[in-house]
Amino acid sequence: MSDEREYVFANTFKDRAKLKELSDEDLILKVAGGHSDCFDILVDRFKLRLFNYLFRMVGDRDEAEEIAQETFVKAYIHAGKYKTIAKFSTWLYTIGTNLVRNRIRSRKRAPRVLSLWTRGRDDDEEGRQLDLIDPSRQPDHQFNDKELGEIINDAIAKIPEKYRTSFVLRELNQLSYEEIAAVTGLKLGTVRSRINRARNYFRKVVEPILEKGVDF
Amino acid sequence: MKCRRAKGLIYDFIDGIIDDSNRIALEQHLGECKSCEDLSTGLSRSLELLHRAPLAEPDENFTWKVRLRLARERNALSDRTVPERSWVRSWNRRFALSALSAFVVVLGTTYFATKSSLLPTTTEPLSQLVQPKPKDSAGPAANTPVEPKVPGRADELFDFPFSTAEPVRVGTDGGGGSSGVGGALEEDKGPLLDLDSLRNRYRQSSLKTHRLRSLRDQVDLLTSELRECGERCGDGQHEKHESGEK
Repeated sequence: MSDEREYVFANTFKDRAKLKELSDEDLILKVAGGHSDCFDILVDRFKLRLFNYLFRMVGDRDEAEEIAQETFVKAYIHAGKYKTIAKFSTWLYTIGTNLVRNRIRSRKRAPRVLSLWTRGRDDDEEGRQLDLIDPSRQPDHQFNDKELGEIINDAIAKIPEKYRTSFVLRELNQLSYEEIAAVTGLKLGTVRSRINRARNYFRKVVEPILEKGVDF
Repeated sequence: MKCRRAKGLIYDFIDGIIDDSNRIALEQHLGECKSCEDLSTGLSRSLELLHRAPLAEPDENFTWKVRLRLARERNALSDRTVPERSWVRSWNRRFALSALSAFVVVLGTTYFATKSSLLPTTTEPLSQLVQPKPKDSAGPAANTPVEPKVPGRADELFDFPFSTAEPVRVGTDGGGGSSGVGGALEEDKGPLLDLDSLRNRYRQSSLKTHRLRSLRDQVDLLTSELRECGERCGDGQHEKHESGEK
């Protein structure tokens, strides 16, 4: 009996290892065919990238996690609609981007009560400067990872939303221009110009910190 | 190289898609132009900072939470399908009821139509059946149209169920102390119900039906004669039949 169990376990383990070797596209096709186990592998592969993208987009950890879960759920439900002409990652980011857009739109309609932290977020106002550094800090202060993460988050939040999507996908998720165009539905030239504008925004926000000689 | 061109090349340089000749030209321009040099340095440093930022980790139970949400979604989807099915059922029920009621209406109409066509026939010509009614100038029904009179069997057939020739006023009690049927039949109260005109209409419609019926019988008779003639011709007795008739 124990041998039988070991055999079954070994086989299952072997199958899972084989599944892990499959590409994202093959896995989602298997999910569409009814192999729901394959979806766990996809979730494990993409949860970090997708969560970080969404976190940079919305600036709130809990909200980003909720949207990421919703993205995976939608991907699972609509797995049958996936077509192999696009990469799975592109498709997944498209779902996530649409969900973020909906959130931002609804947030604009009903602004948060506590808006001090999110002041200026999602605005298209140009030339705003964010006081990211505590005045009590001394130059050459060594920031830890958490502080650096917060600074980056705040700086990204200052980029207008329409530029932010392309910027985050390019600089943090390392997507190609073509993939970003597919995700956002924009033309290649528009994507390029938006990314460059966003880079400029980001530079303007972060440069004062760098000029003060803060060490990271 | 102009600054505008140099700025475009700076972004290409950041993306790593600049070719050698442009890279050399850009480096040369950056050595000469302070603002472009500052832009290039600022972009490089800020993006470097961005790339150094640690990735945020999702909750360690993230995959499990996704599974949980999927299970909930599946349940919700299965719940959503139940009313759809019941809606289909109710729609079928509604369709069946509509079809049944339509069938009953058609059946009723057919029944009444058949009943009205089962009237007995007469071989007498219509001109003899219909006779003008003598005018009664004294009665209140003097202004009514000419009443056709049907003798014999046809008279019984077309006899109107109401035998009164007097116009009857039907109305509510005016509050003058009279009550019951007597009060309702007072002449000066309530709308006028002209029974004579109703009777005339009834008889006219009956006559039309009767006329149609007799015409149909004549057509049937002619059809049967034609059929007999055709059968004889088919049996080779045409000449005999023709000569016999002659």
